[in-house]
Amino acid sequence: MNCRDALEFLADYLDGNLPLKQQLSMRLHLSLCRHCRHYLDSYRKTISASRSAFPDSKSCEELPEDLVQAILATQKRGPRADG
Amino acid sequence: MEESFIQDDSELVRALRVGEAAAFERIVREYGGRLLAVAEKLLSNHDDALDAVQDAFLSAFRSIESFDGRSLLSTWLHRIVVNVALMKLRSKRRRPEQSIDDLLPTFLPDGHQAHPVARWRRSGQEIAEQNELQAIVRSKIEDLPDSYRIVLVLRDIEEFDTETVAQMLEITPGAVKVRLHRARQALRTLLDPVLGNSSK
Repeated sequence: MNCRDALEFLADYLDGNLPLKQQLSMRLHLSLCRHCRHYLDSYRKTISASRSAFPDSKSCEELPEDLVQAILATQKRGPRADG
Repeated sequence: MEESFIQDDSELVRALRVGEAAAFERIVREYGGRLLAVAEKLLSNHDDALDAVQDAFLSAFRSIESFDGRSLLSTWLHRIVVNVALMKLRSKRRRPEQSIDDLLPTFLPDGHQAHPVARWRRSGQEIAEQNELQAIVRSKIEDLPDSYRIVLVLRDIEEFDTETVAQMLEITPGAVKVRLHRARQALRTLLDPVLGNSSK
């Protein structure tokens, strides 16, 4: 396995989806290649940085009440005359 | 658990199809918040996101007959809000979507990386705890081409699984995986100058 292969299989490696043989090749490559080890570490941090960039994303925000009422009122009136 | 949701969906869909007012209210209250969260991340603007959610619900109400039950109702609604958001983004952009190729790693003919990779000294916790870094990450996510940013938002931030995102975007799970990997690699490149060279 070379760097090109290692970086291509990175997501599957992190998800534990690589077949055993490829997983072992990946581990061997990472033990030998400092650049790919650094890349793997920064790739992991990129994923966690995306998640932590929106700290409230899992809290289910509610729609403002006026928007709820506007949607329901428009629905009641039936299809809009869009032209 | 999943089955009870689907049964619940089919009852709700039946009520929507016969025009029960309570069903319209339930769908707006039950799914509106999550749709708004997604629209805000895609559009990066609260008012545009509110418009997108309103348009998405009205479109969903008009086309409820076309809901075939092959996905969850929430997945179908997300598909609609993503499409509405995409249309809004396209109507605002003057330039066509940029290629992501320049942000992907490059290799020598023998398959080794063409450029040395610096170690990121910032810890994940440090990134998570600093508002300033969070704002930088958000702005770099905004810089990604739409088709990649959408997958990153739905998978890595909203944490939907690959199959669900594939249904939302009407692409194959394989295409979701490829786009997600490319999006993460591109974002890594954009964050490298910020997170790769600090000794703090």
